[in-house]
Amino acid sequence: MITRGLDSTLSGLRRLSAGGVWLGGGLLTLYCGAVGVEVLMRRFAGHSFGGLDEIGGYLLAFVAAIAFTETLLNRGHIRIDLVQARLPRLGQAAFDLLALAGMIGFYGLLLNYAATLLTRSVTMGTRSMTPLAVLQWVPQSLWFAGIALFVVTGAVLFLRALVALAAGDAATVQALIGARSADDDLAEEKALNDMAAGEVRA
Amino acid sequence: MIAVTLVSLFGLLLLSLPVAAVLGLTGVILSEIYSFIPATRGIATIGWQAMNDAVLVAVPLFVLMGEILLRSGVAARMYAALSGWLVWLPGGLMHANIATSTLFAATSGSSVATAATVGTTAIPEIRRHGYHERLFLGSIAASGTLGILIPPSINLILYGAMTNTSIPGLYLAGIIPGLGLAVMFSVTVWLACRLRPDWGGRRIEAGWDARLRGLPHLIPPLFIFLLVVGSIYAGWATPTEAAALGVLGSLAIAALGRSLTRTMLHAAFAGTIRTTGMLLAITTAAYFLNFVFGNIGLTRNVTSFFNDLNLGPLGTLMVIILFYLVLGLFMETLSLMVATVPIFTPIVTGLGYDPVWFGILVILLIETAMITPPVGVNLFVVQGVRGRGSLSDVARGVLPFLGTLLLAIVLIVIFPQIALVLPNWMK
Repeated sequence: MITRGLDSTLSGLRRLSAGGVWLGGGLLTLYCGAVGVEVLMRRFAGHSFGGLDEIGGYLLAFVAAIAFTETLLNRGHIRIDLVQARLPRLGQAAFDLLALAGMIGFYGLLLNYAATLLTRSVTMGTRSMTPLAVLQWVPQSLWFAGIALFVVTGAVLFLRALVALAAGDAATVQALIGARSADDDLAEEKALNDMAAGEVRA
Repeated sequence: MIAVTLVSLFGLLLLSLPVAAVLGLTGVILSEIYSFIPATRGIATIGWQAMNDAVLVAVPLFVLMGEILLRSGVAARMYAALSGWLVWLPGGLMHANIATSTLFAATSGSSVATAATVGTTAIPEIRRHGYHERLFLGSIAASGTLGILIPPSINLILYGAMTNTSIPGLYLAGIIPGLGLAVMFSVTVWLACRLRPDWGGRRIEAGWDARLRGLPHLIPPLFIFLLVVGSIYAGWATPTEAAALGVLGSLAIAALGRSLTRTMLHAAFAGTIRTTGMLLAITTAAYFLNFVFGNIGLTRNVTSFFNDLNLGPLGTLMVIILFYLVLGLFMETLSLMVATVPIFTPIVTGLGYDPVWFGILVILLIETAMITPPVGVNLFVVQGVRGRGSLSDVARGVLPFLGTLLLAIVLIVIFPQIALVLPNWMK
């Protein structure tokens, strides 16, 4: 019952993150288009929009925040499994949970203070000290949402893996949150290349 | 304080925590123990500043550029084109491994992608042509490290952003050492195969017809390199803008090659987002850790530690180099760099060394770390592509190249001009 609820929550989060891939990639590409126009205009028409670098910063904050989740779901946050690899499977699974807890701990703390920062930006109406004078809560709330998604996804993964560990199911823990080997990296490279060649529908 | 920092870093690493969490939590621990005003309260402000850094925008853009070129098959075609020109050398295809990685380095900063692409094409050739397997594997693992030295390098952007060093200056400084190191790797292969002719495999003949037909495949990477590096030095674009132009250029190349499809873009976006999440999670945590370092006076502590040692500039530099070589054995390379560079760079520049030069030296040390066991990412990847035998074959095969890399480090310390001549000339 709990398992099923967690699994359907997770698949919802995966779909959300898959949307984030298109959104993030699309926004980066659009930004490149805008920069291309800016560079050409500046060179040949002596005109500059100005402020594109500031917008680039906000874009990075948002894209990176949603990327945290996609990386987490693909077990892509680098770990050194020198000791872990020598443990029995259940021991490895316990290390996996600890590793995820560490990630939730640090970024949860960041999220907590980010809420304070965001509240202050809203109440004080903080603006950037640039010609654009962007109201800081606008980009900050997108960034905050990205980090929140990451921490929530981490928590759901943690609970699901904990349930699996309690049932002695080390394979599921490994599949959800296990450390990646070089073989996993290569398998992902190959999967992405096959996908690019249109051989596998994603 | 220094001891607590090292214990925390290594303890958490050995517990196999993600390196981003290792750096961040070490910051929290240090703040709790040593800080008067808990530095942890600054975590969100620092996190926002790190992730909203206009200089770091270049990071996902260069990743995206490399992904598009990789997924559209541009990179894979380079190998065949280059091998036609290089197989006559003693060591045959091993020179193609090095040359392809070098050219690949100019379009992408990912050593996994480089080693995977070159390895997948090259490794089946080992038995077909009777090469010495270890040396051949070593050549792939070693030349895969060139990507972080030859521009556009993501590691150099991070170094520049964290130490306020000119990124165009760093890029210029990386060109001669990068190409020089590639040549030195080739000389290593050549020497090894002169000493042991049976290592070089059977001679492969390549006709002029095949060579000329391959040439068009070399145009895309050269075009991208000129577009990105050229637009920076012509004064048309900042490094971040150049990265954006590189993305547009790679899209144009993909479109011309009729590989600009929805599925290709999806694969490139997915690769970009996953790599960006990994890179920025580590960078954000490192910015926080360095904020705590400054806050609790650890940076000052390390500086006075070195002053008390009274080693003089060269002695201090030697200690720092030794530190990187030892830590490089065990630590993941990106986190090693971002955690230490803000501490050591002020010390080194305080001794009168050039920050641009030190950036190149650090990159060479990081390259060394990528191919030294037990934790050497390129060894793992090459072994993974190979899919049989043991990792120690790759680790042994890489030894001659490790020697070459150490020689390059000695050379750059004795002759800083190798790195500095281009940036000084452009000034």
